[in-house]
Amino acid sequence: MREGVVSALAAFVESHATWVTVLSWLVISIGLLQTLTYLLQLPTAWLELRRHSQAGDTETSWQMLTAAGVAPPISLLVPAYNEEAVIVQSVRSMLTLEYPEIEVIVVNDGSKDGTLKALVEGFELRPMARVHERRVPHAEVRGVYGSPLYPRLVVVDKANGGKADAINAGINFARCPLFCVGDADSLLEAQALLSAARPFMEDPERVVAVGGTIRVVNGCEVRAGRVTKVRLPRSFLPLVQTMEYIRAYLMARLALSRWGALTIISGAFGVFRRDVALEVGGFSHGTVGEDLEIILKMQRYLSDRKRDFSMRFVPEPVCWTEAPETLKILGNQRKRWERGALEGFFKHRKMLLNPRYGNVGMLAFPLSLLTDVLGPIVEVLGYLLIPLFWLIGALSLEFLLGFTALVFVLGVFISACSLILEEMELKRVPRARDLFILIGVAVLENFGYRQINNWWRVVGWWQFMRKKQGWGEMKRKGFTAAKGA
Amino acid sequence: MSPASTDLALSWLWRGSLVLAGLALAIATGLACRRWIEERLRGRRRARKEAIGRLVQALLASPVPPAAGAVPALEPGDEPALFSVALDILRVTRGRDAERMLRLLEIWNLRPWLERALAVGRRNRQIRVLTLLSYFQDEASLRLLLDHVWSPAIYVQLAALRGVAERGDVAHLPEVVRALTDSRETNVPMLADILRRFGEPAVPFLVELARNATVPPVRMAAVTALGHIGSLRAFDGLVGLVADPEPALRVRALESLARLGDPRAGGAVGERLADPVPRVRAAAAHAAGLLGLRELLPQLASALEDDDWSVRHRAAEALYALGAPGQALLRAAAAAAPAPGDDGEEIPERLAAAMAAELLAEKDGVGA
Repeated sequence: MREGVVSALAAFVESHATWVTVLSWLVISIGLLQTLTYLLQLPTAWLELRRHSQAGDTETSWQMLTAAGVAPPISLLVPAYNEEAVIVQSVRSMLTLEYPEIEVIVVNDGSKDGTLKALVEGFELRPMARVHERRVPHAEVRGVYGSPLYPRLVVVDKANGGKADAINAGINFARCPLFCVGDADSLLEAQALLSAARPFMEDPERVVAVGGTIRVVNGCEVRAGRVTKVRLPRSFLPLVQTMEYIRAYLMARLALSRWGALTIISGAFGVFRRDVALEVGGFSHGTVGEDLEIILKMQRYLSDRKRDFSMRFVPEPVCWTEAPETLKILGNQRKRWERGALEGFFKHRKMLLNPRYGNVGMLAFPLSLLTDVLGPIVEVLGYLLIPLFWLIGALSLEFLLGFTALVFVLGVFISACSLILEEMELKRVPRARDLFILIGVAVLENFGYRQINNWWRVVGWWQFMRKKQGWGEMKRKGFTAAKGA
Repeated sequence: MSPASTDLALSWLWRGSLVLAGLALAIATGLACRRWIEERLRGRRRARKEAIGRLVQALLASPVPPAAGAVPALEPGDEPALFSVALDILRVTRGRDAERMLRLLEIWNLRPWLERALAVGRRNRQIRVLTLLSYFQDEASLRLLLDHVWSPAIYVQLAALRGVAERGDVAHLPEVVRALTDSRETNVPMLADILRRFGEPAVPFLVELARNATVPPVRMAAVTALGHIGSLRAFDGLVGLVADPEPALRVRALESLARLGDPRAGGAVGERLADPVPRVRAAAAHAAGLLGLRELLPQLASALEDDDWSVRHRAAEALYALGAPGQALLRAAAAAAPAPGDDGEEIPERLAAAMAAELLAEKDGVGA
């Protein structure tokens, strides 16, 4: 039976030899290009850190806090949909951020649970009127609330329209020249805004958007909306996401920022110039990856008008977010991310290899083509083809194992190098032994997690082709539950 | 592929994997060891810092000023902890306590350590050392600060400039400005903060700088600093600058004039209410409200019909701030407010009415 299948496969490969050869070389070339990219990103990220490191510079933050009129005012926008469990704690922590001039605008996006009630009770809110612009479109506002106890807090209650719609409402209501988009289920470190505001102060005319680092809160101790003790998650899935986030932010985004090729600023934490966001028409409705879309839109709009501008990623401001702990929810998230990436890529495909868009067109888009568009399909094809070649005798077992080992070890090596960047700047990995745990995770992720992650991304591709919308299930445990999780 | 070349490729695959695995392990071990040592030292350093902090507090509270020989000696290697304690104290104290703290640093001879830290320390330590040096009044400290006003690291440069400015000696202003001009520094808010620290004696120089500096951020910083210093000696200079060809500078000049609080600015502010750039018109409306310029009521009422939302908003706020006459104008404008749901054409009167009605609702707490 087995011999029959093998000979049938061999006959198939032989009869389609040209296609199989082309496919094999495609898989190998894309894999090599991806590896080359990572190996280039590592030293670039290191150089960027050396240039813009804020590690330990408490003095400049102190000056920003105490000197009058130095730090630009920021409106913190918090879109909230069914966040009853975490909203009060989250807003409380935002109100205590160390920043001289800040207003917090919570936009309740037609929640079906008790989000608004929790806010009204938690902050003794009362209905109020507030003059606001109507520059970017959003669903109908049902009410605006303020608190005599917390004058810097505004709550906008509106009909459901999605995250982008809620952010647009927040932009209209904001009165500061900069706005920060946060998540109701994420926690900002106390000095996060001070760090994120620095690029806007350094280059006020050119800098239009700044992103910060996202880290996994699972396992940490959280009190009164603050991470009081950093700990690694105890279960595997959030742990492996911790390593992924370190690689993604400290290596990839830092390098892209240095190359002037940033195409995404995380939806959980990004600071934008309000006038530019208004000019581009705010966040786009009906998108899955609104955080990617707004950056691409800004890049395209400003480049089309030949404006001199810059977008920066700054590692120091850290935003803690709850990572999915079950395969089902993680899978939904990854499929959605893939759909968002594809949506952004194809919507703005005009930028691909177009020199008018500078490094975004010539570098970031080809990279996106490699990693987001072709990456998952190619890797899954690789998983199928290599064993197939072994099965039909085109590859020896020794070669198969050697090749697989090299690919996996390379991933571990890149993770280890990312930890150097982590130790240079953030040092949010709590203990010495945790560094070994993370390396262990970087080894283990190759056996199962990496494959299933790629599978989710291929499913995301499929859903994108079928034009699937929506976010899928995303259950939150809440921060108190996250303690010691 | 021949068997020999297959073997060679295979051997390279395995060698590459082993080398990379070894490197990854070495990196992880190196990082973990470094962190382990840091963790061990951190506890010791914290304990030492607390002990030195207690000792310093006792010496500051003592009825007798500290004198060499009467102060207990510190242990070798205590310098970082002493430095940290001193900076924390100097940030929040003035007068006798600050003088005593500086005297203690002299007695414990921290200077050589500070100089070494400046020469070879990391950027964040250099910034802190320069901040500490700004509290000393001696020439040697000033020299160190001036040496670093040319630093290519922006926050080191800014810390040195701040230290020089903290002394308030306007004789150093030209060198400060040269350093800023040469480095093409663009951090306007921090530059303004530095320049304002020179205080009132620097006003003529800053006015000159705002008029004639070649680097736009330095000009803008000078204008902002003039507003923060708040001296009426800057009035004429600022009035002249509200008509500058650069819109961003006009905005800053209007903001600074508003800070001075001199109602003689009415004419200059009124002219800017007709500026071609919306953000200048908005700044002018804001200044009119802050300065209480009732003579501008008609122009502000007209500004309610401006095309730009921020101008309308600032004008409405200014009218409200101008008290009964301004609020009466707002109510008159609001009386023509379109009924809810009326999506008529956006003619200026409608825009003015809508803005006036919304602002009154916000300020008076109605319409919610």
